[in-house]
Amino acid sequence: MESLYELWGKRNPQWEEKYQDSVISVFADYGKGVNKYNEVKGKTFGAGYEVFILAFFIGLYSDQKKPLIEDASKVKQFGWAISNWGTQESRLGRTQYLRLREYMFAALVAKTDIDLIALDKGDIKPSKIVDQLMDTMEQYANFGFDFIKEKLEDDPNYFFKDTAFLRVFLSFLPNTSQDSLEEDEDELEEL
Amino acid sequence: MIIKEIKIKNFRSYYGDNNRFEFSDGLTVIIGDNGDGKTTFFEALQWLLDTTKDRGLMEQMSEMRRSQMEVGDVEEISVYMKFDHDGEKSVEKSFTIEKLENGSFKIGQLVYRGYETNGIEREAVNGKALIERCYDAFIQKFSMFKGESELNVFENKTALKDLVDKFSDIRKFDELVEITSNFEEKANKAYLQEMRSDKRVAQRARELESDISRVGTEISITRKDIKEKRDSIDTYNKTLSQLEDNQEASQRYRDIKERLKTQEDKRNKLMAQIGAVNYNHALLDRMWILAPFSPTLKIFQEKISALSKTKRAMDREFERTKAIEVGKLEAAKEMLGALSNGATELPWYLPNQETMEEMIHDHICKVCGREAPEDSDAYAFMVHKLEEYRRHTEAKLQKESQKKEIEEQELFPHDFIEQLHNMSVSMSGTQEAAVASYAQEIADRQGLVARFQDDLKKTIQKIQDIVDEKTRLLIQSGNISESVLDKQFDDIKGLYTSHERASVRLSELETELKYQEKRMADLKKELDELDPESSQVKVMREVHTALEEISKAFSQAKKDNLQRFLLEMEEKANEYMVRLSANDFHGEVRLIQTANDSTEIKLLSSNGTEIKKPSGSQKTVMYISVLFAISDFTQEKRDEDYPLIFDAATSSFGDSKEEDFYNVIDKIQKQCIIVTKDFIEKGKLDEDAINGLTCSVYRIKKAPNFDQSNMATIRTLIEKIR
Repeated sequence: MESLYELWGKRNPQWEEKYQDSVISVFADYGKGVNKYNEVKGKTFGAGYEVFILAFFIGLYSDQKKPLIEDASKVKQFGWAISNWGTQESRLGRTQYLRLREYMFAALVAKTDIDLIALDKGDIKPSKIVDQLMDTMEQYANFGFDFIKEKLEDDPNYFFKDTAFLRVFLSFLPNTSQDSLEEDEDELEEL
Repeated sequence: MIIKEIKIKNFRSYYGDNNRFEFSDGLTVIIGDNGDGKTTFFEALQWLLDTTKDRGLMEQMSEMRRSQMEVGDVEEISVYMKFDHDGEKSVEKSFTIEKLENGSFKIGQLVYRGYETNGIEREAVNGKALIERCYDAFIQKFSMFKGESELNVFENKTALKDLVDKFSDIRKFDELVEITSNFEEKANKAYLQEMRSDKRVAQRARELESDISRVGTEISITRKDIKEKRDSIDTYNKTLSQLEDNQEASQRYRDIKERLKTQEDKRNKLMAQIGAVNYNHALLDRMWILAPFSPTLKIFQEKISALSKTKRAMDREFERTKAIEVGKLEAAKEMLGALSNGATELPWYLPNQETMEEMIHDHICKVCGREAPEDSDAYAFMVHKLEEYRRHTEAKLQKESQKKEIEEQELFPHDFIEQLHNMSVSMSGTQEAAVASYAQEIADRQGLVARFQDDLKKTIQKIQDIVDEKTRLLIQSGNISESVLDKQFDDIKGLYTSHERASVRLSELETELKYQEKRMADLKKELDELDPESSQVKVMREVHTALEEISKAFSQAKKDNLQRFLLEMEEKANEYMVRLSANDFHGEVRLIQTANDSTEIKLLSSNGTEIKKPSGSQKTVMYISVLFAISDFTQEKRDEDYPLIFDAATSSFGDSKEEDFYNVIDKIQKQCIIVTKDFIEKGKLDEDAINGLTCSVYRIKKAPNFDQSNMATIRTLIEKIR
């Protein structure tokens, strides 16, 4: 029987359509197909799911979930199963990041209230558990999208700096000195 | 020749026919500001004196005049000059322009008109011929100068020769040298003729003659080679001394260029290193996004670990329950019945089913040997025993099946938790440490980048410094382009090599020449020492010797004369130099004869050091001094003077230098016309300075109220100040 990880890998997470233009397309070439020109076009990322991953981790580290809109016509999915994520990035000097998925899965298992005993007992179907995991994943990402969207609304250039996303994630670290980062930032700008 | 008057009609900015200048024997200064018509004056004069052109040009006409012309109008453009040259003469060059019906213009033929006063008669002569006779192109070359750059007349290689030919009596020597050399040759020929016919020495004389002729050819070849080498060494020296001015700059430029390249390479490398990590991509590719992941990982591991424990505990409990049930089943042992006398029965399986069935069939107990007919107790006992046996067997089977059933019971049919546990275990240890170290990796990278950026800042500063240095260097070396500096470095090296090679070859040739000359002398001596039979030969020999000496003397005198000519000119130039420089440092002029019979003007300090880079004004004074000296010479030798006309010759002079210069030149007895913007300061005439002069002064300026963008509104007005 397939493991939960394998079952989860076959899934496609859902996300609210409103983030397509307001967030995903801002940073990725979503909807245009991934091609070697995305650097030329000045996009930060290649595939749309990369933005989803960032959004997911933002929600995870913020420990904040946001349920998706109930109207099924207003949600979308990438059509690109999780098990394929991170396998395409061997061009443009990018490297694959296959293992990142395991950590995402681990986080979902850690953060979702699932009855694994009942599962092992056979009282619950695995797909039910995976549904729960997906729900957590989507809710975290939903929060993350909202986070990014708000930042962009406040300042459209917020993520313009090369280190902007890194700063967001470093802010989740305990005792990060933002000052020194700020300094580096200014120097970078000068060059 | 003294210019008396110049009239300019409709020539460019000189509109109409009321443009007249009169000149005294001494200095005349024509003062004008930029665009006031100074150079036009000079060029009008040049145009008048240029007899090589046969057509007038449209653009020579006053734009103002032309704009006023109606269809059918014919207008004249002319320049007229009255001068004194063995009596009063005048010359005028002119052409007409006619406006045609279709608005275009027709240019008329160019006309020269000359007049000469013969006693009291004034007669028309060929104007072109008159110019060529009195003021030919050669005199123009030594008398009219536009700007400071044209003042060095000896830039032109043939200038000295022309000068000598025209103005010195050295030329007369050419003839004498030729005649005496001719005599010498003839005498030699006759003498040799005699030698050849002398019986005693004929044989040897012929040999010697042939040797002498051969060596003579060799010597002339060597001399030609030497001259060529000297020529090229001269050229190399000249080019090198020009290049040497920039040599240092050129070397520094090279050095700067190299340093700049090093720093730029470093900058590019640093920028590449700084940009080597894309922070956004690194979040995913390097999994830096996991920097804050450790707590989540811990939760996962703890959760799975706990689950695994719980599951195992549950499993154990379940197994225990199962074991109890099985135990119970097994523990349910059957109590053995007692026999009639109270003795314990045999176990139910003894004797076995087969034995029992045989005994029942045979109606006999085969243990005790007694018969057991049907319906006997013993028979019934045996049947019962068999039944008992069968019952037991069935019961046993049933129990076994029950036990098996219990044992087969399972609490957890799936092992998802185990799979997760495996995953958790694989994420511990190295992986866990890796996640924990991402934050450090990022910090390290940022530290590294900070250091790179620090380096980059310094490198960029260095590049800026080097670029500044380069800019300073380019400013210091004047208007020399970078590519010239770059190229000159190689040129200088090449020239040095060529110069060196030529010098070595020259010294070889000179040694060879010495040897050849000695050989020649020896041969001649031997020839002269031959003792011919005939006394006629001896006479011829003496005649030849005498004529040879005379020829040599003339040839030497010719050389000496040229040298003397240069020395005299140099002396005169230095006199002018002292006067023209007034109180300023001036150095000494040297006219140095070069290998190709030209001359170079050099400025030397009194201690003999050459002043390699004289200032602009020093150069100008030096050249003007030489020009005055030449002019003096011509006056002396040809008993005729010609004017010196300068257009903006003193632009490199400072105020005090300028004042000294004019004060001196004012008192020199020589006709001199200077067109200048000196004496004008911020559009105003310096009246005091002008009042200090005794010469004639003209002020030319644009007529007021002109349109700044329309040339047809420009005309030059002439005002005689004094």
